[in-house]
Amino acid sequence: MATKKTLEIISPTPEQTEKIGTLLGEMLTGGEVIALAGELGSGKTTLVKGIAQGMGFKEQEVVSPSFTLINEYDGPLPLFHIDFYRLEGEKDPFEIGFEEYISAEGVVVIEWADRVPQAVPKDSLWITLRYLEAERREIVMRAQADRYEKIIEELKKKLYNRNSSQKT
Amino acid sequence: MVWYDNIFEEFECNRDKRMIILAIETSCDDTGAALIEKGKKILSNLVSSQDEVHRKYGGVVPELASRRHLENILPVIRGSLEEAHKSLDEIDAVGVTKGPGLVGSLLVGISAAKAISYTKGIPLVGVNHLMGHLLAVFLEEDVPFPFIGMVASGGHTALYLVEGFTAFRFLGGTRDDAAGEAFDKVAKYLGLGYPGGRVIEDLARHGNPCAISFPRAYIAKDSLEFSFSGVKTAVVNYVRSHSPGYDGIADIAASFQEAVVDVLVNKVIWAAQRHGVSRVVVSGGVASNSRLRERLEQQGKGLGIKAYFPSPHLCKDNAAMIGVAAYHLFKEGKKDGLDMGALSRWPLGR
Repeated sequence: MATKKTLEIISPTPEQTEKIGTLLGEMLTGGEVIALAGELGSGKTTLVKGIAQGMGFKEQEVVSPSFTLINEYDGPLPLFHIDFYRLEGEKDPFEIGFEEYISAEGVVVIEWADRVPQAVPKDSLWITLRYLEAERREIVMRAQADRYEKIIEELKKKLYNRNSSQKT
Repeated sequence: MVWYDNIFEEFECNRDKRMIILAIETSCDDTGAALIEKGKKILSNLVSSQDEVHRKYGGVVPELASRRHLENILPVIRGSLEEAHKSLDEIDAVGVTKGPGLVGSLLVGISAAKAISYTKGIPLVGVNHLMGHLLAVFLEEDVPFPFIGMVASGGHTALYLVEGFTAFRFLGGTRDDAAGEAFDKVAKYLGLGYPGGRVIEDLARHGNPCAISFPRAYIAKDSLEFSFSGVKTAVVNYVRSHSPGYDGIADIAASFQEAVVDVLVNKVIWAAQRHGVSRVVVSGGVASNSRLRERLEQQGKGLGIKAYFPSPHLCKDNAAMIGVAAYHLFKEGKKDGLDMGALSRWPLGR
C-alpha cells in the first residue's frame, strides 16, 4: 500500500507533545484506531494524556496501561487505551480480547503497536515518536485511510494557526 | 431464585462457626485460589506460576494476563481444596476479585465463583483487588487501625488511609507509570531481564546509590500523588549520553532504585504525618524490595512511625488476600448476586 498523507512535527517539550495530543483528541468522533510506536521515554503516554484531554477526560485519569494491558475510560466517547508492551506474538492481542475493542464504538489508542503490527487494523493512524535530545521529540503521523488524511489536514491547519497567532 | 435466597438466610444464622472462604483471583497474569478460615488463617494459597501447581494439578504456565486463566482456573481451585483437605461442601462463601483488571481475565474467576456459589447455595462476595492488597498484612499480624496503606506494584501505586477492614480513603495515586512498572521498564532498557524489580535490586547492591542524581518527582510540596515516568526517561537520557559499562550500569541501577525508594518512603511518611497516624503498611510487588523496607523502617523509627510489610509471597498478587477482604465484607453483610459483573476500573475509597 502506498504511504498516504503524513505530518511531521518537532515537539520541543513534553508539554507541547501533550498539546498536540489534545488537538488531535478534539477531532476524534469514534471508531478511530491510533497506533503509537516509539522507544521508552519517547512520550507515548504523554501524547495519550493529551488525546484524552481533547476527548474531555481529565489529565490525571490517564495512566500507563503497560501492566494492566487495557485501560478503559468511560465518557460520551469512550477511550480504550491499550498497550502491547508486554505482548509477544501475533496471538497475544487476541488473548487479551483486543479485537472486541477494535469493533467497539470508541477511540482505540495502542501504545507499542509496533511490537505486534500485524494485529493493528490496516486503516489506522500511525504515530511514531522519536527521541532527538533530552526533551525534544520528532512526531510523525501517517494516515492509512481517508478519514485520517482529513484529520491530518485539519491538524496541520490548527498547528499552523496556533503558531502564527503565537507570533503576533 | 427463591430457593436460593432461603438457603442464603439460613446460612447466615450460623455463619461464624468456622467460616471458610474459597477465594479466587484472576485480575492479572496469575490464576490464584485460596482457602481462608475466619479471614485470617491460610489453609491453602495457590498461584498458577508455582511449579508444583503444574506438576500436581496439570495447570499451564501463564504467558500473560489472558484467556489462559481458563485453562488454569479449575486445576488451581481443585489444588487449593486438596491442599486444605476440604471439599466444596465445606466452603461457606466464595470471594472473588471483581476488579480492577482486565475484564476478560476477571470474568474467568467470576464465572467459576458464580458457578460454585449457585450450585452449592453459598454467598458470593465481589472484592476490589486493591482492598485485598491493603488487607494482606492481616494474614500474618494484626495491625491496629487507623494506618496508612500503600500499594506499590506493576499496575498500581496508591496511598490510602485505612480506618477499618472496609473503610478506605484514597489519598493519592500515580499520574503516569506505577512504581513496579518503572522498575520493569528500566530493567528491560538496561538489558537486565525479568523480573525487573528483582534484577535491579540485586545489581543495585554492587552500585553506588549516590552516583547519579536522578529526579525525584514530588509533584508539589506535600502532594500525595506519584509520577515515575520522568525518572524512567532520565535513565534513558543518561544511558544515551554516557554509554556506561558494567560498573556504570550498577550505579544506574542503585541510583534509580534510590530515586524511586526516596519518593515512596517520603510520601508514605508525609501521609502518616498529615493524618496523624503512627503505622504504615506497604503491600504489592514493590513492597518486596529490601531497600524500600530498610529505608522506611529506618526513617520511620526516628519519627515514631512503625512500618509493616507482608511476606513477599503475600505482597504479590494472590488469592489469600482476596479471602481476607471477602471475609470482612461478608461480615458486614456485603454480598453480590449472580448478576455481578467485572469492572475494568474500580476506584477504591473515593
